Amino acid sequence: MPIIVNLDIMLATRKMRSKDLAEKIGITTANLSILKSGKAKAIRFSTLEAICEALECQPSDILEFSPEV
Amino acid sequence: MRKLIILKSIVDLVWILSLPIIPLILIFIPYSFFTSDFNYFPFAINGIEIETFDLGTKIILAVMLLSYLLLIYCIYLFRKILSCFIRVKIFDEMVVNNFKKIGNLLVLSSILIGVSSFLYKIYYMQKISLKLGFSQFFLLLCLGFFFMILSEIFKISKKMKEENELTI
Repeated sequence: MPIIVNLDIMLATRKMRSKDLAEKIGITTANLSILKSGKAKAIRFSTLEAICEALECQPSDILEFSPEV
Repeated sequence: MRKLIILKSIVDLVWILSLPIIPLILIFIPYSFFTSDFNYFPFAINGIEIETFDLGTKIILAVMLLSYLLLIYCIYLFRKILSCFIRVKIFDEMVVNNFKKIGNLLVLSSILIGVSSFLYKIYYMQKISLKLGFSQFFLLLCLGFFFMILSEIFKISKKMKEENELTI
């Protein structure tokens, strides 16, 4: 998929664990793992909003477009 | 779910009743080619009594019997689909593939039955007739295409279900 989720980097820069983020935004760690691994097919605006709020960042910091070679 | 169990029971019954026919057909097809004495067997193809037994009739009869075997195989596949539904495995790859297989086999079977009975009428009865409405040929053909469409619908549904599950 040409959309890359940079959640790992954002979590590392904020020294936050996946479990803490999952608890903060109200999703399961399994779902957060799917999102981090890039297996997710779509993301709800409400989830994106919650992630941005929790990590104090913009959606562009989390999602990146990279054309497939 | 009760309706599903009723349907499964009916299909199981039809399957069990058609089981003894399979070896009989498999034995009869080669036997029919090696014997010429059929006078003690009253035969009918789609309601038409067979009077002469030459190679053409035998081939038509063999094709007809093979198409009936295909129909029995369709019942077997449908049983498998219903078992999947009972186990709540609805949008499964196996269900999609089996629906597609049933559709293809029903279309093939209807063509085999239709063509062979049409040829029999032309060669042995010297008449051309086309029966519309609830004839076996059109009913099977429509049922075959219906199963093919059902397979496509289940394929789309499966994809949508996967996408829904992977929406965070």
